[in-house]
Amino acid sequence: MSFEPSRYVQPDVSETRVNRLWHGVAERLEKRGARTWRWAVSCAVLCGIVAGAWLLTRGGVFPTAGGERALVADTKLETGADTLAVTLGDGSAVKLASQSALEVQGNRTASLSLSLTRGQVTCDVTHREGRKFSVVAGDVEVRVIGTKFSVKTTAGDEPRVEVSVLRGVVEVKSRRRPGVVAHVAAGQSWIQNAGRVVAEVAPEPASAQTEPDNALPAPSSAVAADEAAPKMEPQGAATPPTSAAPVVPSARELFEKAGESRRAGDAAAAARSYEELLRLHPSDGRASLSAFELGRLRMDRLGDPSGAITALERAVALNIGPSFREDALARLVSIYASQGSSAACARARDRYLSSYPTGVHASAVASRCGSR
Amino acid sequence: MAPAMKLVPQPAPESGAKPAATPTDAALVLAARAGEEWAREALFRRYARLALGLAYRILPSDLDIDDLVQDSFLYAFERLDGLTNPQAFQAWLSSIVVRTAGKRLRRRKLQVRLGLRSFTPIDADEVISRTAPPDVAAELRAVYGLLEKLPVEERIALVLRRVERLEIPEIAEQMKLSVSTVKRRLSAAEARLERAHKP
Repeated sequence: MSFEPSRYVQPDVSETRVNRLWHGVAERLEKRGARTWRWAVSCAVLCGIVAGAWLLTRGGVFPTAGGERALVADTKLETGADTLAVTLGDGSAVKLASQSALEVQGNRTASLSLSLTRGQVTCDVTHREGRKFSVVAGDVEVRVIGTKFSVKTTAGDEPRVEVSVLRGVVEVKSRRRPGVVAHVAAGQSWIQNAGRVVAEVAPEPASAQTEPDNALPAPSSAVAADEAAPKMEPQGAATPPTSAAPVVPSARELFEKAGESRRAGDAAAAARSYEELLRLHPSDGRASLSAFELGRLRMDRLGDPSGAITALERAVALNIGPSFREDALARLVSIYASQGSSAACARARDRYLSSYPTGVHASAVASRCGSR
Repeated sequence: MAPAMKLVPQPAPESGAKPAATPTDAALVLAARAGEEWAREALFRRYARLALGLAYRILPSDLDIDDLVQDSFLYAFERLDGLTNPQAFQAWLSSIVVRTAGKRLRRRKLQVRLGLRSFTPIDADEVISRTAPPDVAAELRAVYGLLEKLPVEERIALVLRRVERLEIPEIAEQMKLSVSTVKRRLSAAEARLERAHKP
């Protein structure tokens, strides 16, 4: 016979009692915090002198408190139908997609090392001097300095690891290729399939496959030497400058100029360069990424939601790479929702969910635009 | 000091259904680790009833159950960094409640022996709900009639087995004992239970 005896031995679990208990816990936590704080202040004077001297002589950074504590070493994070997003104290964000598993291998002042054992993680890493941020997936290690990228691992007979970089540059090392480091830049994807290193670019218009981009580091020799693998190529290629029209800046020049302006914090100038690139070189391989970046700038920095919609829709229409496309579609949902355009929002939401039902933004997107 | 971390739990939707905005235990633990007060409170409210129930079933005559539950949560919140699998918060908290209850029981026994505290027998009629089916009530009455006579580990093992209906490996995990030790404790407690109710 199946029964639960515990059901018949129950204390008062009223809301009043739970509230009273919580206030007791909160009060005691606060008191302990205050005690710790007083102790910390006393110690700080002494520690400050010692640490200050150490920093002056050695250089370096203090361990950061706060956000990093969430990801202490040996923490195992697993998601089922849900996803999990953590923003660290320095603004770096780690997003674990649904059906994924991540372990914190180490978290020290100088390094944060994550191990993706299943599914997908997207990291938006704020540059911090002296810190190594890495994600390991199988025998692949992705090391970053300051960038946004995602790592996706697929188990099975032919395990696959895919690294997509949305901003900045990452170093990728595979134990299959000891000593070889591949640099993967914004717009590029790096894939290892069934143990074979493959480096490829996100799909772009045909014109994208013509000219190597000097803005991006060259692929490692090992990667390039793999006959079965396509070579690492840039996200897009520039239209070669012609002598007949020397005054027209090339797509590559404009793309680089936009990147420089962005890095310098001049969003408006960056947007102008992207706009010019789209106007002068609409079929260039960089056009889709430029449209995406333009949309991002207009949305996040320039307060121009309508302009952002135009740019992001254009990026999607230009068949931007898969990682960017997902982000672009999610952004469109967000903008339409904030503008109160219910019908457009619903269309954008359905478009996202039909393409990425378990995407990193799926839950956020699904909750927009009212009921489905 | 303001916490330096934001955590955004994002439950994914069931097909066709609006997602429930319920953060997972892992999400709450991570936020609590980073000093988010709301996350601690959410964890507390999610598991306060579970902790109260468990503590009460081990120590039904104890008037300080509230204190025990608060101590358990304080212990848990201060040691969240040691929880390697944040999604396993519930089982971890239960084991803390069980061990805190064990400490209380030992202290109380000592106080009674030293004459610092009077012995309070368990009033089974008070503890067992009137809605319990007769066979369940009879078993619970037998268990609670014996509890105060048992050594601490046997008592806790018996409650976890007979009342909580846990499996032996689960009891071992909760009590932080080996499976073989739990088997011995249970065997001794069951023998006493049988002797106590022999006609």
